[in-house]
Amino acid sequence: MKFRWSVLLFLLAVLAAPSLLAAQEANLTACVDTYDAAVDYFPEKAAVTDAVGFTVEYFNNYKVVTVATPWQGAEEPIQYVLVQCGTPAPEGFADVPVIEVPVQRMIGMSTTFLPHLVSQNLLDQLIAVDSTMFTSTPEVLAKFEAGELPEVGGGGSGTEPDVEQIVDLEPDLVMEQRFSAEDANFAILEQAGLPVVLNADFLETSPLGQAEWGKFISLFFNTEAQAETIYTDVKTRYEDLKALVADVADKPTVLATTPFGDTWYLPGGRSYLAQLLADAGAAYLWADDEATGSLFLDFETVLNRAAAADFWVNTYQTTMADLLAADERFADFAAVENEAVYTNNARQNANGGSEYFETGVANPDIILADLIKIFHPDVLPDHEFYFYKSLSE
Amino acid sequence: MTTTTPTTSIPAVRELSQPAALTYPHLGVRRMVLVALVLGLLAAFALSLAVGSVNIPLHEIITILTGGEATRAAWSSIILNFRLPKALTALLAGAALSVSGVQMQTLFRNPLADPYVLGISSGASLGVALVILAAGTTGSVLLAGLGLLGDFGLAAAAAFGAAVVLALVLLVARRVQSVVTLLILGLMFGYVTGALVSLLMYFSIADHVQIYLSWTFGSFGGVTWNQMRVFAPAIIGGLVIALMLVKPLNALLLGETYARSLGVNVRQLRRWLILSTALLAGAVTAFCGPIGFLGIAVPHLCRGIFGTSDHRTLIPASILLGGMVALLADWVAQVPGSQIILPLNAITALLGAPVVIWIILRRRSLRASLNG
Amino acid sequence: MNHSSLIAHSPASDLATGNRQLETSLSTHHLTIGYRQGRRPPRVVAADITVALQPGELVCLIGPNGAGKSTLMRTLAGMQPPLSGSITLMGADLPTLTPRELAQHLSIVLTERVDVGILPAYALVALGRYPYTDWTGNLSPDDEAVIQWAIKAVGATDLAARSVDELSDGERQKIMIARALAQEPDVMLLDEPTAFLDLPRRAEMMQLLRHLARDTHRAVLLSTHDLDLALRSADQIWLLPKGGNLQAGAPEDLILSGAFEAAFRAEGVTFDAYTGAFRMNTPPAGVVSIIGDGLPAVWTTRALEREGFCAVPNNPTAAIRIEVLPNLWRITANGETQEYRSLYEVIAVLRS
Repeated sequence: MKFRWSVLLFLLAVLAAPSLLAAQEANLTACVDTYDAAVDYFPEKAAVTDAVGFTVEYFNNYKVVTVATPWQGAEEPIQYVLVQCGTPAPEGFADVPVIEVPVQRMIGMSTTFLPHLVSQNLLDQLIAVDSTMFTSTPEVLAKFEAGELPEVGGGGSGTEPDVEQIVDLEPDLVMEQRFSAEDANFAILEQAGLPVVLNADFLETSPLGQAEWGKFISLFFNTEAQAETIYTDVKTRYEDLKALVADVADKPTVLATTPFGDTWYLPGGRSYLAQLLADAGAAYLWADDEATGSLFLDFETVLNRAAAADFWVNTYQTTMADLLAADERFADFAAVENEAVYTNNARQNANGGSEYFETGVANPDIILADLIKIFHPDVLPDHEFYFYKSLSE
Repeated sequence: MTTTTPTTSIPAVRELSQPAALTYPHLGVRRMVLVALVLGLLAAFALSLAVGSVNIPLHEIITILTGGEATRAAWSSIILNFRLPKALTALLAGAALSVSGVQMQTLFRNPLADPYVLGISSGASLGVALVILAAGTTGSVLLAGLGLLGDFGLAAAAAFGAAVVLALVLLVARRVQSVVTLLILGLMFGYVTGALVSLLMYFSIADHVQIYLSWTFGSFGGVTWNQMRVFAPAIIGGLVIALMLVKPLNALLLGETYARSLGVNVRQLRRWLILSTALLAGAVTAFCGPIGFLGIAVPHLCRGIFGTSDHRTLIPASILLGGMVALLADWVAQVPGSQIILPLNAITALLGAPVVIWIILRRRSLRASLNG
Repeated sequence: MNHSSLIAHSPASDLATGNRQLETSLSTHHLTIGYRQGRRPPRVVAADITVALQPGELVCLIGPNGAGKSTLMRTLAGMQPPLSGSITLMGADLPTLTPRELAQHLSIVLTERVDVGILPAYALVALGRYPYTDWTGNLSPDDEAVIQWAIKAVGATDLAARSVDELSDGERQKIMIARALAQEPDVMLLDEPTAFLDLPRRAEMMQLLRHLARDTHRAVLLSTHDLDLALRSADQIWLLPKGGNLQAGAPEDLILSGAFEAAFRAEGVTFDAYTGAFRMNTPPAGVVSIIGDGLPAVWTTRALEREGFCAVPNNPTAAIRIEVLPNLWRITANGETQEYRSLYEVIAVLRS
């Protein structure tokens, strides 16, 4: 539909203004000097296939982006109008934030944005981050170490962003995650008149859907073409890996994560991790659960169901000694005895930030490959673990 | 446990007239109430073994407890490695907090004193907060080395923090005579450590704050058999000291001046009381988190039930009732029939506060003891 | 109530006093009391006190507030070290006694209202057996006998089963004395034991203490503000004026020597050696002539003196004259005569 519209517009433009025929084969990386209403300024468009959290609608000189659920429990979607720089903003979007694209100065407030920015060659446009404490992406760290990337997060998890510094940096875009309606940081930034955009990648429950948020980022930089290529590669690899184990008869049973104190926060049966486990040809023991978020179960309940589980993955601890030091009763799980325990935190930076939660978001195919290697080692004999490692090593 | 004199008969000491002797009250423990408490404690213990989120048939439980083979290996593990140490922990922790509550209320002659007045829980909080929250900035190696979720790591940190703050309080207290000053010192150290903890929390990532918060919720479930080897002797040691001190504690009811006039070495007594409370409250905080309310409420409940401030009754009664209340609170926190666990601290306060209020309103004598 | 008959035949008086020699219970020798204050020179409250307390004696320590009564009591009780000099308790130097020995020889009763929580009076008295019981605090039959004797001795048998927090101040004070008595001390020190009692209770308390001292051959030292009662009851008065020059003697000796008058003169109180009563020092407001006699005239004089008038009998030159008639007072002043039905009205008129 959209495609047909744009073809029609293109044809109209060809008919009306033959002089512009040669223009606009790719999205612009700069502003338009002379605006022509008949020109489609975004010939490269993003098509959202797996993510359910955002949609985009293209017009000649602007895009309308809709984030369906900007935060957990949000009742209304939120919209942004992305206008090609050098062209007039459209009428009829009085209450909708308008962002001029391509963005030249972006502040990223979450580490999950960083791999996308790097892969789309947007590191120059990243002018500040909230904190590099838990950052793993080496290109970003290098820029920080060169003194070219200020931190504006305020220093900790409970902290307010440093609004003064952010305003002083004159960003075109502040991309932020809002975790709840009560999350005050968003309001603080918005009140300061900053161009704040909410990214809800963390609410996406499918691994591919989460990775597709790379396209969301591309919308702001007119880098849809790169994003499409990258995502298609990831998706192809993911689907191929999935197909390798789709028909395995023997699906090992799996337990996941470690408890905080008495309570075991288990991923729900419809969660991100549950899907990865299913796609990796494993039988997650709570797969029948309907929750997309976490389950809060006590140790006893988990032990009762998972004492004989074949595998235990995504432990916080990275060695068997640490695991048993945390609670010697973990030894009651057969997976511990069989040395079938794997952590997803093989790659941590000096501050304990795990690369799994950063690079993994953009590269679910690597996570899937790791998991398949764990559950069905004969299927991927040559694969080297990336995010995962055995606690027995 | 001390035995109390069962003298209801007055010895034939010459001119003492028999009718007058009948008006003298019996000073012994109310035996029936004591027996009821023991039975209640056993029932609560059995209940917490029998009921959990996993439904295990009663005969299986008995088989497991008597050394037999259960139908499922997981059940054996649940009973022997989870429910049994948890019930024991609850019993010991409840007894410990209640007894040290009695000691502190008598030492400070203040009905609102609790086991933590000396700054033990604030010190422990600081120790735990340092390990959990500051870990992020000192490198993951150290973090892993301490075993982030490891209760021995946390217990060691909590014990260390509590010891440091207690030592500071005592060091400053050496320069002062009055217990009120000691009370204020404990309070002030509490504020300082509280401020430091909130600073640490401010600069920590959400995961670590969550771990710290779950520690502050309190739990009896974290003590494994391995840790029980440290936990139980510490508590039992503290309780033995407490039982040895019943006589001077009674003298202390009259105030320090009278106590001294009766031959009590008040300074030494104070030192023993602090040692006992440090063992009791320190071990509980280290292994179970800062469990509130039991230490302040159970002593009042015991005074209400037994109608006496006599420590020869109060200390044994607090051991029994404290253990029982802790077991019941833990049972409720488990939300019987569900698979979730509520914060223990919320349960102890929600359950206990109305009970204490009710008793205060009902019993004039307890009201009087609160006015002290 | 006749305490002596009870006490004289009580088991404990035999138990406790059977082998007691008639030696001095407590004595001081050139005792200086006060407070050490670090590097600064000590603050001396009273110096060179040499007194003795005999068995069976009731001694009242009196003196104006701030003279150091409490400091002396605390020093004698071994709660505060003396600055110099010595204290001898039952023939032993006080500092050489262990806390337990001290507690077996000396017990105290304080002014402060103790709040013991929920405890029957009997249990409170039983605490007096502390220096005699084992580590569990178990009471032997002998202990119980002494407790019951002590309760009887203070006439508190009916209070024994009641909770201490339900007792009145007077009842509570009796129980505290019974507790001190249960300690079977040679010396009892009481700090203002009558402070919170009403007048009849004070007299009763003093009577009780006097009998206890006599009949059980214990030495009782109490501090008090109740001068009148002290003068009437004490075998010995220890008078501690401001400045710390303690004087001891029979009440009458101190009156005759003028020590009493001297001690209280500075306080704005005049001691009338003839009546044995104290009077407020107020500047004379005028001379009033009293015409009349008998009891009404005596009390009219008292009332006028309280108001600062100098009342003289039958003085025609006085500016004010009062004729005392049965239930009627006729006042003549400035040539006018008025009649009043009560002394209250008379005083009101004279005051204006």
